[in-house]
Amino acid sequence: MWDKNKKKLQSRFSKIFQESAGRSLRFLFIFLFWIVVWQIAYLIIDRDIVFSSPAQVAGRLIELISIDEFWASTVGSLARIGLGFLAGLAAGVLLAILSVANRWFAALFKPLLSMIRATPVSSFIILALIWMSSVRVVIFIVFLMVMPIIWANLVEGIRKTDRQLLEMARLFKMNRWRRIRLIYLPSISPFLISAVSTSLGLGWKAGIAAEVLSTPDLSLGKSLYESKIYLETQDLFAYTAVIIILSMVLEKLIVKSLYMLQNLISHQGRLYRHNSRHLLSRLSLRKRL
Amino acid sequence: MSISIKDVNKSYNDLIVLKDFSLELPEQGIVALSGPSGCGKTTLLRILAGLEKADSGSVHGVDNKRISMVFQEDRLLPWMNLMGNLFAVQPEASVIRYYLECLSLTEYAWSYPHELSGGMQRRAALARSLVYGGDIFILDEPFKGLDQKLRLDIYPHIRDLAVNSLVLLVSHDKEELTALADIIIKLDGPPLSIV
Ligand SMILES: Nc1ncnc2c1ncn2[C@@H]1O[C@H](COP(=O)(O)OP(=O)(O)OP(=O)(O)O)[C@@H](O)[C@H]1O
Ligand SMILES: [Mg+2]
Repeated sequence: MWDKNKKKLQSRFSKIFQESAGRSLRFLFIFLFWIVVWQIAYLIIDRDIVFSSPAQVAGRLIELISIDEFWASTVGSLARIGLGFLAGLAAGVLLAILSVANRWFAALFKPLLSMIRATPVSSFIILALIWMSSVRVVIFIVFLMVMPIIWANLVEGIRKTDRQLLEMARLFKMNRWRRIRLIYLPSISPFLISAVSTSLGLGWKAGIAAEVLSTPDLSLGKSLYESKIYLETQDLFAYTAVIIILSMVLEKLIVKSLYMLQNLISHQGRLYRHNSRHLLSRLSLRKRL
Repeated sequence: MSISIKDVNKSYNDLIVLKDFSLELPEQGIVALSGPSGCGKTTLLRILAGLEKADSGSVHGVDNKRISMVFQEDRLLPWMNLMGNLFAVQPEASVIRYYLECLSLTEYAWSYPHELSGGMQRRAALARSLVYGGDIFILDEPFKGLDQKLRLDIYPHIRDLAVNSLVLLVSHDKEELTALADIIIKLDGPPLSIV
């Protein structure tokens, strides 16, 4: 009996292993395929001044990571864009709550939302350059990109919360905090996660674009801009690679942790299970758990 | 003070569901409501529970009462397991434990609604209403999808409730009505009328 179970377990593990190994292999293949395409493009274009090879970019990247200024620029960009993102997130959440709470507020601010979303980022960047210092431009632009997305998604999420569940909560006299925790938060969290993931990508790109135009000291955008003026194409490629990698890592990291938070908030049954040993011990089926 | 509904009117658009409808209810016992689909039973109960506003008329004797309900739908929180769903309305673990046992749900305490069968979900909704407790239990077809044996197991617990509370039970099942009800009100409609 035990042996049989063990075998089953082993075969399950080996299956999982095979699956993940298969996935990594596929990923490696796809990665190599595009590196080869890149290399072929480089060979066809054959002008170092406009197009760099994978090897050149990799080499330059390795050089970069030993330079202090590169790290300072990366941190600088992350900090400015992160600040703009957090501000946009906070404002978006606040505006969403106000819009749902008050119909007049929603109607009044709807045109502003549409206007911000329809305006090209470059218009905002150029306007902001006239209005404020270069560091503020970046924060402001990221804020402008993030806020409407969070706002609109959250309003939709709150509005789509199941009426029947809310009515149930009312009947069972759940207080406001409980309703938020047990019903609103779990139902809006998918909307929030998708909004964060979309706005993070958009905000990051817009932030870098703002940095290219406003060139604050110690920023990836300024580095991009300078490599363009000095025709350092390898740098241009390498910085772009850094920006892409950071964008992917950031999104993965933040969305993953949001999912974890969501699990923590919504699947409170698991928490109860954890916290209620005393309850368990008296339940007749303890042996089954 | 007994519970009464007086001259209540309620329409949805052009459909008149309640027309000068009046009803007196005792404070204890099981009152069963039975009638064809769409005659207005749920509407009546929702007005009684204060979930729906009547167009006119009044409801007396419910203001200081704790009302518990099994909705016509299960309305379980999909992101919480059964235990979480019950804890949401009752902080006392011993009460939860007791009713889980009564409804043969103990072994599903940690299951999420989507992991339960239709009948188990129904029992979970009933369990929530029972653990919450109350002076008035409004049970809108609480045994939907339960087999004979389970029903017979649950009846005594419903009877227990009726000692101190009013149980309003919607049912279409003859055997259930005779087994449980102290008073059977046969209805027709819309507009809702007592036959
Ligand atoms: N929110 C609503 N909007 C419009 N019409 C409604 C609404 N709720 C109920 N009705 C109508 O009112 C009538 C009575 O509905 P109700 O749900 O009270 O019936 P019921 O007696 O509970 O039926 P069943 O046994 O099928 O549950 C039905 O004809 C229904 O179409
Ligand atoms: Mg009904």
